[in-house]
Amino acid sequence: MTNPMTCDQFADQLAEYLEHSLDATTRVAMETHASSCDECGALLADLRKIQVGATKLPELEPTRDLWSGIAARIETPVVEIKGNGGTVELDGGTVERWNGGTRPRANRTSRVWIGLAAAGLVVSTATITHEMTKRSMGTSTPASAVETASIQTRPDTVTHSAQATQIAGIDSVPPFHRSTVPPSSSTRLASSKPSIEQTYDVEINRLRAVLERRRPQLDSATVAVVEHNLQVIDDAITQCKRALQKDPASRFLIESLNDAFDTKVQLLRTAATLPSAT
Amino acid sequence: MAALAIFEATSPQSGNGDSDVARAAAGDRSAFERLYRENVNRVFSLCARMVTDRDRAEELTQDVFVRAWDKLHLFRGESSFSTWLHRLTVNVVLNARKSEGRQRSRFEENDEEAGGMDALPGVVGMPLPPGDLLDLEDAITKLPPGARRVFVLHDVEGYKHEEIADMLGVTSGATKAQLHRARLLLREALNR
Repeated sequence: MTNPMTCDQFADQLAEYLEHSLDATTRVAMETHASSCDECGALLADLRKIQVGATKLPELEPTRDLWSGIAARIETPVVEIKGNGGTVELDGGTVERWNGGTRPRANRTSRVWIGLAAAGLVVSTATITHEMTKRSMGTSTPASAVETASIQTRPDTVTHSAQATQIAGIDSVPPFHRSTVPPSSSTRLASSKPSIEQTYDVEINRLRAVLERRRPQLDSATVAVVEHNLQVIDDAITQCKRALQKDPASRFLIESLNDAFDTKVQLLRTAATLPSAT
Repeated sequence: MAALAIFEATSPQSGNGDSDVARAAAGDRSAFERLYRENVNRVFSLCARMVTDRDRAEELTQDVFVRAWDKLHLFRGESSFSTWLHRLTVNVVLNARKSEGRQRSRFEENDEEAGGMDALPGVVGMPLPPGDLLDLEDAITKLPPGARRVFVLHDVEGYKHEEIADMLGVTSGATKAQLHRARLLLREALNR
């Protein structure tokens, strides 16, 4: 009996043969051809050897202990998020309740770290905004940036938009409302201190006020581009918040949200310092 | 699924393993460190074979465990912890690939232009097993990235084509083609 299969046919069906996806008749024909053709037989043997070898590869080891880096990263504070599904509760700064379980955290460290970060953010951004506001209004403001920062970081003086604009001496400007983010869905630290979002909001409102004041002096097309970009960022913020409602512990989402806020502040800051249209 | 089965068989899934998972999920870093010690080589092996760069593989291994710590509360015990961690590793590696620079991604994705076995000079850069397995390990690092990923996931890690296709966002026909190509390239390299 002659072998009906050619080498080309064998090669064409070899992948399926190795995947055991050929019917029995074709499989027998493949094996018959492999046994009678040195070249195809060697090919099949080599590929089988590779298959088997792949399952026997030993585990590889890192060249260094990676744990210290991991430990440092998992101890890095994460801004606690209050989501729909689970209550994030800081009991004296030591316990976070989530998904029915209780997960101790280094909250004391975290809260101190977050507080310092928030204070640093406020000092740095408020100083810039303060200068912008002064320039924009042509008058000095009644409260210094440092004073503003110290007020905002006190738990008993949690700021909101109107309060913030009064502190900055621009109370004639209505508070800015983000069209896509309802206040009730705000993401906040689970503590009495102002959240990162509140801190950003204060700064964003101030910069918004500066931008509104300068709007008549700016090129309308440029302002339109700025507004469009702000809308894009607001959409991103909204998406992050929605995702965080479902996955409150996601570091990626938290960082994305903070990045979006930071981008918004940077854009507003740039817009507020644009040269006047000629 | 042979390799995956070996992994599960050699990883403690009862007794201390289970209790460490529960403790780690409750925030016990010591328990989590034990889980790390038990699984780090397996995770690192997958990372190293997927990216072929030792330093990057070590970074990704750290990313995997940080991610595992963050996501451990989502682990429902429907599969073994090691299976869950293994899939998480694949996701971290593939997501890192996606998020890395466009230029690098373009280069890596274009296997045809990369020119097969000679395209990537990189090696894992770590001690290799002796004999044939050494050769195979070395040859894997020189595969074009697309073929290498499929080969590692299928032949080394034991995933099915449908699973790999889902991970990579391609068809199972494409992964089958890549796998066969990878095996042929490996044969060519090993027979040189």
